[in-house]
Amino acid sequence: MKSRVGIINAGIGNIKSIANALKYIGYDSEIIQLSDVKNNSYSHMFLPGVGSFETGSKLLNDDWRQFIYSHINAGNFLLGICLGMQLLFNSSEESPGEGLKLINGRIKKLPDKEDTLALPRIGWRLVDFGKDYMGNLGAPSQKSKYYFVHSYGFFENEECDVNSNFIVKEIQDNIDVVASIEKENIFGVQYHPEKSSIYGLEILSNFLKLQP
Amino acid sequence: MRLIPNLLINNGDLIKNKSFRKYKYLGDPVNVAKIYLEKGADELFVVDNSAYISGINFELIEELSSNCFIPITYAGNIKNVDQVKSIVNLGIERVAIGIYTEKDWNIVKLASKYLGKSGVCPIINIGISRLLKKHKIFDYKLKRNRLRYSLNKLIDDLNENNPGETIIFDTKNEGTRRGFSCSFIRDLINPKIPLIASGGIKNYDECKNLWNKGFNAVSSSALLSLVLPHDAVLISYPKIHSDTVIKNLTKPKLSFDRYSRFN
Repeated sequence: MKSRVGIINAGIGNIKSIANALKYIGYDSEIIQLSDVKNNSYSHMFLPGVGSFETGSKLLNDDWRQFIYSHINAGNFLLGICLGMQLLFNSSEESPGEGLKLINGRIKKLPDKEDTLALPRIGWRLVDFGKDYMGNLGAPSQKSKYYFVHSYGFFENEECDVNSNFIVKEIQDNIDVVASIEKENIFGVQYHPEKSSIYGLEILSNFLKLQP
Repeated sequence: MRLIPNLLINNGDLIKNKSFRKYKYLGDPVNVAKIYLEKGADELFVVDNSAYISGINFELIEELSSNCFIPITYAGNIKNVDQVKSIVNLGIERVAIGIYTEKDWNIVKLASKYLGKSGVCPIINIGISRLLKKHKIFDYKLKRNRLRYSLNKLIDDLNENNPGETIIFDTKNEGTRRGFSCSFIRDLINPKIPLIASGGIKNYDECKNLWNKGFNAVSSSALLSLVLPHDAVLISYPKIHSDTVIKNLTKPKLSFDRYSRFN
């Protein structure tokens, strides 16, 4: 089946850099405006995001939410990037507002360690997929580096409804923040694959190769 | 511990300045940016010097962002949030704004509201008054030190505004490779504010020293584009940097060469 790739333009992310990266790896993408959501369906969809959880939550109005839910229910793939990943969860301690509630959990502030971490936390970090990894974005035991810009993140806990084999952690600063999470056809990456050089392009390529 | 190549643009050309005068033509900015990408550079810092005269070169920004899949920070004549929005819409994630007067903080605040703190870098250009033997804010549009807005007051404002990552630019040693002479500033600024050291960087050992002193990143043009003793043009990026900062990576299955087949 031929992929139809869309990037959600809800005003919360840098859509152009994702479109540039997709074009470079050979995929044409469409920027999805709110006016386009009716009668349109995509095999792969990106939810980019930069900024605060509250702003993102407000910009994802009921029409957008309905569109995303029907996309997921149809078995198509969704990848949330940075704030886009955080919006897949229920809520965030950063600010009020409801997430999409596609994955159970709450986003928390990164630990404020004076010696190692200045917030926002900016830069390349080592990510270990682990030997038990069973997801689709990478491979078991893969170690890669990705570019992170964030002050908040998801930490694996009991309330999370995703098996550990589908959760990848960032191990550079010993804070175990979740770097990527995969729940059936819902994917989230805290880093910016579109800005993570060849390592990130590989993630995008792996995501786009998935077939329903 | 990031090492950021600094791309200085003048009328669409990539150049190297020395003491704010054009010193060398380095090449086509997009080609050089691609070389840095392939060599594994952490990020790029693009400074358009001619934007003050001819306006922001949006075409070049778009071309750079379409070809570079690492973060790019753009600086050059940003005066309002609409310009910030236009730049971001072209695929750039971070803008840098020079601070020469107290009023310049307004645009930093407005841009941060739109992009978040991590998307806006204030730039502090530090010069030295030979007469008073004191550090001053250097305005490179006017090519002189600012007298009314003191460096101490600027640092107070910086600590109060608590912006995102801030670029400290050593204008005295810019392009000379005599070493970064403004590391004293780290002790004067709130340790929670990440800093980037730029200007005069001598060698990779100095980068390591600056990271140890608490600078989050180092940005350099001469170190990564010219080779001593004759300053021959050679775009380079220390392999030791990517090998030591983040070790034991799994080799990606795909390479940029392989991707180029898709173009």
